[in-house]
Amino acid sequence: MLDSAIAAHETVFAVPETTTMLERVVVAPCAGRFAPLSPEDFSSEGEWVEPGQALAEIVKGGKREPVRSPFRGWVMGMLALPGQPVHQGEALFWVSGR
Amino acid sequence: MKAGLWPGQGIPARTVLEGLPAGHSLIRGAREILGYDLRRRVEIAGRRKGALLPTALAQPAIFIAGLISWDERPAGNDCAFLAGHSVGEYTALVAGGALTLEDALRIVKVRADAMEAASKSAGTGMAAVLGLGLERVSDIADRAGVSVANDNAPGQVVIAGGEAALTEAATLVRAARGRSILLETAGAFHTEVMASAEAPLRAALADAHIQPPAIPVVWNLTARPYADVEAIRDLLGRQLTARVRFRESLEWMWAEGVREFEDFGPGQVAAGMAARTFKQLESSEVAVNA
Repeated sequence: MLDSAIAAHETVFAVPETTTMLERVVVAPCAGRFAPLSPEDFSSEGEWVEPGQALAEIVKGGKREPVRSPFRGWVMGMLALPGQPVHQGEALFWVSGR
Repeated sequence: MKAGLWPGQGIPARTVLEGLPAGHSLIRGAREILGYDLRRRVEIAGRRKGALLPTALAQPAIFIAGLISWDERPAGNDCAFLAGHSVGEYTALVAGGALTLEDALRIVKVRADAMEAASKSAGTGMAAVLGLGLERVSDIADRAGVSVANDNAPGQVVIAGGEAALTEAATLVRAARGRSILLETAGAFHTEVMASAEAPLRAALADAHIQPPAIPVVWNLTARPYADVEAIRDLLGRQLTARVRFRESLEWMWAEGVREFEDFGPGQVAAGMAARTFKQLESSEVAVNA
């Protein structure tokens, strides 16, 4: 009786649902104003990026901190506007790893 | 000597809309063939900034906008050659007198619908490769299992294929110090993925009255002009699955003495390709003469 109950339980839960997220978000490394790179260096939508590649800069007090992608994939969208004040950890780019 | 140029499909909706003036007679005439108000549909699709039009709408809209611009050119604005990129080839054919507007629009509608249907059957796409030459991109395409779909200008080649293969190609492009930009197209145009669209297109072409162009049209497929009517029919059918050789077309026209070009739009994409190609030809000519 107990064995059959366990077997039924295992049958129900043996194959749990899994979700694979291919979408990633690149965030601001620090607070400051968001400054995209020039189109000659980087296209904000559609470009393939490799880990470590600079996508934009954060400008604060005359210093420029590069925003680097930790991911490999296609940049599907820029989520901040040029000159927009951003805080550390704010989402700046949507990268799709498909 | 001057060439008249028309772009292909990747034009933002708002740019296309600018080329479709409200109440224009060509738009009213197009409604009878298409069954809908072209300008109204483009207007709705263009509400989102930067939006591209779906294939079935983009092709007739770009075709009509290009012809409106051609019809409104000032007197004496003569072109020795015409060339259109992909669907722009149909605009060039009407401008050159090889096809009537009505026949061409009917064909473009069939072509656009068939290409959209072919795109839905497979997870494919296109990516522009910047900063690498055709030879290098062809090598990468072979290794990744994608096709070279458009040779647009020096350092601007478009590859197309399955999504996984495009990703592989993008990695190889980056390793070669080039850049890949994923294009917002429905599928892998100008590759074998479009093969299912060829039969309906050929049927539509068979019904059309085609005559030799009065102004030579330089073909995407061969980068040369042809006047034979049956060859024209065949070239237009094969164009769906074959590479667009636009850079070579521009180079051929340069060799024939063309030094000016006009992009009849919509937009200035074809002008950008021509400027890039002519600039390189000019600099190599200077280098040879020096």
